[in-house]
Amino acid sequence: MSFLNPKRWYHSLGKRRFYEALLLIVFILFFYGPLLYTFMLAFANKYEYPSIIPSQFGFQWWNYVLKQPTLVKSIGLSFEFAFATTFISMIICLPAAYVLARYNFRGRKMVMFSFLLGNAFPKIGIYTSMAIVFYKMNLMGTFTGVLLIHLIECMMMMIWLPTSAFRNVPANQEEAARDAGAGPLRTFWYITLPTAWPGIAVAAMFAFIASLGESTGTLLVGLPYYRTMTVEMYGVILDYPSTAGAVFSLILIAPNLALLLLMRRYLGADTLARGYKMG
Amino acid sequence: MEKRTWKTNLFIIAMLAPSLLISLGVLVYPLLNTVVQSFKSPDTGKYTLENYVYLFTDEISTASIVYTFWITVVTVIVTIAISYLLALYLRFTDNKVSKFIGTIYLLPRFIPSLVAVYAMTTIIRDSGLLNRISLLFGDNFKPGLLYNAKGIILMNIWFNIPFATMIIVSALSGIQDSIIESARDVGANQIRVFFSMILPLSIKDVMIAMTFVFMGNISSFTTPYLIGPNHPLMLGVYLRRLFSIYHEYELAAATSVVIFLFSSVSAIIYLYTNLKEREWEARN
Amino acid sequence: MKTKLALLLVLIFVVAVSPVAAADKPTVTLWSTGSQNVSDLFNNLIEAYNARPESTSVVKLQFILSGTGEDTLSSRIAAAYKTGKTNSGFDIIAENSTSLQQYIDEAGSTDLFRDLDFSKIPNYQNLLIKPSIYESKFVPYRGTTVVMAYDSARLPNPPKTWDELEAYVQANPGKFAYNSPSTGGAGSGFVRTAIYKFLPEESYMSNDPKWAEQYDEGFALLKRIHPYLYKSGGKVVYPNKNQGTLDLLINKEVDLIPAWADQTLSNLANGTLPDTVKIYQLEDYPLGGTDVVMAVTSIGAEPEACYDFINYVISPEGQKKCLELMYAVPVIDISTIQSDAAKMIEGLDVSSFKVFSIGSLGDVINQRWDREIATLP
Repeated sequence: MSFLNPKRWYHSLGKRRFYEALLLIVFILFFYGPLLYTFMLAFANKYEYPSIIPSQFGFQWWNYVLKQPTLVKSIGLSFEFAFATTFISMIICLPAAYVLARYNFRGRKMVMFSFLLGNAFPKIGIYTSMAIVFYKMNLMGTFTGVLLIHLIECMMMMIWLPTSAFRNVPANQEEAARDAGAGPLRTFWYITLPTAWPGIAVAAMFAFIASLGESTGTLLVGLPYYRTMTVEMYGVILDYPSTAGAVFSLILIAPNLALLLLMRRYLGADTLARGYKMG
Repeated sequence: MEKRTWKTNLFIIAMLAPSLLISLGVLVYPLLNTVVQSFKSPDTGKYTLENYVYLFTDEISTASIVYTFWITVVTVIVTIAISYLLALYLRFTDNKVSKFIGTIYLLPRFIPSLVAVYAMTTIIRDSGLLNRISLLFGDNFKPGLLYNAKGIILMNIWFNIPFATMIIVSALSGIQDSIIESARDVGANQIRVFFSMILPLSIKDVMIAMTFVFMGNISSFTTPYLIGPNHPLMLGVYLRRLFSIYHEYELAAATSVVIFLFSSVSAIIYLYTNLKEREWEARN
Repeated sequence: MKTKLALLLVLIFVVAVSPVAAADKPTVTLWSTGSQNVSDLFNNLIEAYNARPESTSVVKLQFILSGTGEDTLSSRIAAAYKTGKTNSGFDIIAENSTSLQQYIDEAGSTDLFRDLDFSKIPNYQNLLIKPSIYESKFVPYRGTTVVMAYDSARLPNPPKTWDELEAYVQANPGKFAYNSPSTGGAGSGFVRTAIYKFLPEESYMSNDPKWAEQYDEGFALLKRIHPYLYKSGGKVVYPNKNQGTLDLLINKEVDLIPAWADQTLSNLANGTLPDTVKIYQLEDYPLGGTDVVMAVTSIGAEPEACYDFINYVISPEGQKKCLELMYAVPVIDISTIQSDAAKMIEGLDVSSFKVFSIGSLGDVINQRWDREIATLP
């Protein structure tokens, strides 16, 4: 077991490299250990204490999951909401983000700040009064109602991040295009939007992920007709033992992972961090 | 500020209107209603302070308030300390290891909270992976992390380190190498460079990270519900219990207002740091 | 506030529930709540029923999973009843009989559920039990009960009575656990029995607040066993949710827990619980059970459309599904059902279940538990 002896490693790697390797190991174990372990459990048919590796691997729980008609349906519904939320939040928030970036007016900071406010108040506390508003507008149990809940989940990100993205589009570029005879819409479409795109794309990704992950509000407003994947899964994960829950966990993570891979080009700390700053 | 035509003003209003209407209608209006409700007596419907008096005198709810505040503050301090170190490492080291960590550190931010709590539970419970591995070595190590504050804090830092690191990394990457090099050239040592240049230049973003970590954790529900103790409860769990088990809506409203006030303190600090900046004029 | 909320809920329901028209057969909507296995059961029953050519209705399921807002269902139905709605889309309700009492309480009238014409439910005569309440309205279709579950490999001789249990718990610290009662029925079944075993029999079916004055002895018992329960990190903890204690048993951290019979048996069948785990009932004061019933609302479809499905569920074929899919105790003679699962539920007899119907006193117990037991060091 001498290869496990830290001293040996310390001397052969040198001080700096040793600590770096240590950091890497701790980092991976802490952040990825639980996820990798869950991944393994998802394929365990039989897993008894105190074994570390399941005594039998298989797809028992995958079969179970895929046989659930309501679950499969809920996955489709979740994506419908996610696409709708992303699309509509862009239509609603991008114009606001644009004027917040281009014009300074009284109350601008307050407007920006109001979107943070929503994050500061615990949602469960306002559900009863939220429900009253929704009922007055005939939104209970409707697609639009659930959509509104998802929209407010992602609005801060959808305003703040594109605002800073728009601000980074040099105003003189737009002016140059206008001077060359392009109308305001053309200018926006061909000059402003492409330059600000990385920030907008990341905000859209956040909106998509936020919509997929929302459960409490969806339950309140959508019940019983709109049950998304997250709503279905949460109950199941809580009601089933670890091996079954692991499968559901993986299904919940999968879309987020796919999106992250797809967007990795845009996902710098710089772009992301702007979503948390009032530009 | 230059004088604008009414057309421009109308344009601004028209562009802002949809998002503001949604935010006011679905969020701000119900929020104000809840604040009003928190001052109503559940029995008579008259205005009263009794809900707040109860919250700040009852043994269980005061314990919850203190406990929640304590866990949140510890979470913020530990998260920021570790994140800052990690961010410094990522910013000022350029090799394979740091690049690798730099590409993967963000992922936990995008894991649904229930999934993460669940995955962590299978590792840290007294019969979890850690315990099973220790048995291999003839030991019977019981982490004792479940159902207490340690477990909640561990989980919280798992969620928040990636986020806080990201914010701080972005601030640090704004500091140009040349500035630091010139400081080093005139003989400043690493510690001086850090305190006189790096820290002041990134402190605003540290405040931002702190604000969001604080707000996210003071009302957290999933983590303390699944791995927290039976008593004292974190306010998020207490609130949910008042709301859906005891059906004490007025008390629940008052609890949310208390959580909101805590959040507001951090939000105001945030706003203050943001208002001080005069970046707007500089940029335009 | 109460009326405002009720009004709100009425309107929620008006918008949420729009009856679905069927082609030729009448459509009946069945509402139920519970764990995932209940949902699995009804999906399966309904699929089989709708596929039979001789069925006279088309049944649809609306299911609310526990912990995802099931408590709103009774309010919504009560609200619909109070506005005098008909054809509301709430046709058959499948629930614990004790929960349905709460529906009736909220609606303020027993007329919420119809008196049934049992001549139109031919299989009704085969039932071994009567519902614990409202015989003319409820049709029991399965039984379930909280039992003691233990691992026979580590605990060959589990305690058979409450006195033995107390002695066992004190002699074996850390080997027994129950979940906190407001988070799951297994824990609350245990706590209720611990309290009501000191009360007269008549109190079991009463929601009279006077009984709450006699809870002290039960709480004293819970306090006495508290220091000897499952510990983590040096402190006694009560896991959240029924699955929380089952997880402890699965991972061999404890040897004995109160658990739902059906949930335990399902976990045994799918291999997550080691096959050395067995269930039994305490002899002197069995843990609370309940009959689960179907009831037809007076605000829904024509009762004639509902009878056929109810008849199907209590037929040997329907009961076999209940038994095999969720290890429910059948309500008809088990010898009429050919199933390997029958031996799993040996010794659980639905007619001997102890049923508590204490209404809102359940909340009183939970709140007092949260205050007096959860706060113990």
